[in-house]
Amino acid sequence: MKIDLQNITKQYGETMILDGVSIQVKQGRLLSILGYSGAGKTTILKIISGLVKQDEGRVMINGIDISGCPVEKRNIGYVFQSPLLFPHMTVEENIRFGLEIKKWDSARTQARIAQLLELLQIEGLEKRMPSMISGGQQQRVAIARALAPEPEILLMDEPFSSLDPTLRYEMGELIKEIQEKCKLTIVFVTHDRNESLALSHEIAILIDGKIAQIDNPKNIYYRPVNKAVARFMGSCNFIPGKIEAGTFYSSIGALKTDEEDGDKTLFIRPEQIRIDAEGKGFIIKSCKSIGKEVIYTIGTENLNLTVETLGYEIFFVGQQVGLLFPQDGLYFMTGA
Amino acid sequence: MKKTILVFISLIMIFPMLIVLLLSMFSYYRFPLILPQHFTNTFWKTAVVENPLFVSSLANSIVLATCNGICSTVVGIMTARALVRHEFMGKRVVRMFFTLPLFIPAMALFLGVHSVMIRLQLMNHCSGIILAHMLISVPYGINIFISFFQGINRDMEDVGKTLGCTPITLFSRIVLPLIMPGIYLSFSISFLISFTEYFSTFLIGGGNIITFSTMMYPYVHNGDLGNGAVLGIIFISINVGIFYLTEYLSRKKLKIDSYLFE
Repeated sequence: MKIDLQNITKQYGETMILDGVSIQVKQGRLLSILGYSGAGKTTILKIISGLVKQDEGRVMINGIDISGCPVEKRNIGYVFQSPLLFPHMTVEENIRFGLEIKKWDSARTQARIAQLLELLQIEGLEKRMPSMISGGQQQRVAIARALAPEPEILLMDEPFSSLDPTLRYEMGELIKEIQEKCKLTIVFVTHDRNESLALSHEIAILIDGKIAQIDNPKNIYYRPVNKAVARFMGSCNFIPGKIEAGTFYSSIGALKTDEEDGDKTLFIRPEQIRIDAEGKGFIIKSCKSIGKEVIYTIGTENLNLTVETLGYEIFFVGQQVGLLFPQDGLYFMTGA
Repeated sequence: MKKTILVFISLIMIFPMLIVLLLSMFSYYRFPLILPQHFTNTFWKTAVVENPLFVSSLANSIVLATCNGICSTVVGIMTARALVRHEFMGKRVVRMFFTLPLFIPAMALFLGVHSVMIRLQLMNHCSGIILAHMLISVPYGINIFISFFQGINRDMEDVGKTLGCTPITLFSRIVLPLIMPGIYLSFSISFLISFTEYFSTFLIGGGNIITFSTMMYPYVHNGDLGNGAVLGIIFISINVGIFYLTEYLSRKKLKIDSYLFE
């Protein structure tokens, strides 16, 4: 295990920011921490890097407790939300800075800088001052600066939140590429669920200072452990009902399943449901087009479901339709 | 229009200096003469060359002012850093205490300081004079550095730490270059305050330590206009020189405009 946070607790004054947080990240994996703003995501990174000291719990790197080790000796790269380049140094001096501090010899330093300039595609900017390059370029330089001393772990705190969407996507791809090339272990903090679903091997959901779920992106999205995680990852439907002898009975009708008997709630994402124009039993209550997809609210008297379809509107409000549910892979949560 | 006003204002400021310059070079300049008469260099000779105190008092002044500049800047940096970066009990009181000397009349302040210096046995000592001057100049230093430290993002220092900086390298490699313009500014202000200070130097120095301004005072006081004017010209030139030197240095260091406060 590369990074192993054990039962981390942190309190600022009266407010409990982190309450018994445990996270494991394997060597060469990218874990992202997702949570609402102010949930304590940044605090976790600061505790791993040593900038903030935890109240309780242990930070283990490669199986060694480094809780007592000062920041400057940890050799963990940290990319902040804003680039924070040193304004009195050129791009090259910024990247060189960490190597000078670590007293690398000049041949090795030159080679490393050239390698990073190429890796982050910022060749030709070496002699510029930070104020003379764009925001995206600044963030690339910041990443190069953090990577320069060859850290084994890179922490990234919403590094692309100030960039526009296209650039953001590009940077995400770049990070993935670098991560694979350098076999880096990355902990990535974000509040953008699409970004984290696209980039990560594992996602940890932080809600109210606790890790609600830590799993691969597919499970986080389709098999959330509770309603809070489900809602955090996007719009969703909960259908309460009961399973008896391999059949799920609810207000949407009966569905076959091999789950155990008992009171259960069917969890289903809006895009998993298909609309059947020939069918009956449901009424379209509203519809909203948001470009590439249409969001319908469809329901019976006592139940409303959100359904998303690609393309333009083909159903109208008030129309009688049927709904098609997937036949297998249904996910049930315990309880009503 | 704007230009005319500027020229007018500069003339108002330059005109008295022009008269001082004329007074130092001509021996007869009375009402109703428009232009002075009898060009002479005797004033420059008596006030500079033949003045036994000229070199020593100027040296005293420069040494005292330099010491005051360095001490006030160092104290200013340390205090401002503590005030901006750390939380501690009585922070507001400390801040107020350091700005207090700006509001209290110099006469009242230095009478108090005088009795303290007697008790500390620092009367007639250079260190006593420097301490007294620091009372006036440190508040300026603190306020300069408070704004500089507020302009440096705290996270930028954290970046330095994650790259392996110890507190010392962090200060010398990142913080110091960023506050360099503040250092020039604080040093020049403290230097000028000490250089021009007459009352406290006289009071604490007890007449034993003669600085340029205490040496100059009797000339002006006794109506010896010619010699007074010569010393006045030198006094002004040193002040203006220091001012432009620091301006030049901070410009040179600050190649990029306004990188702070981003």
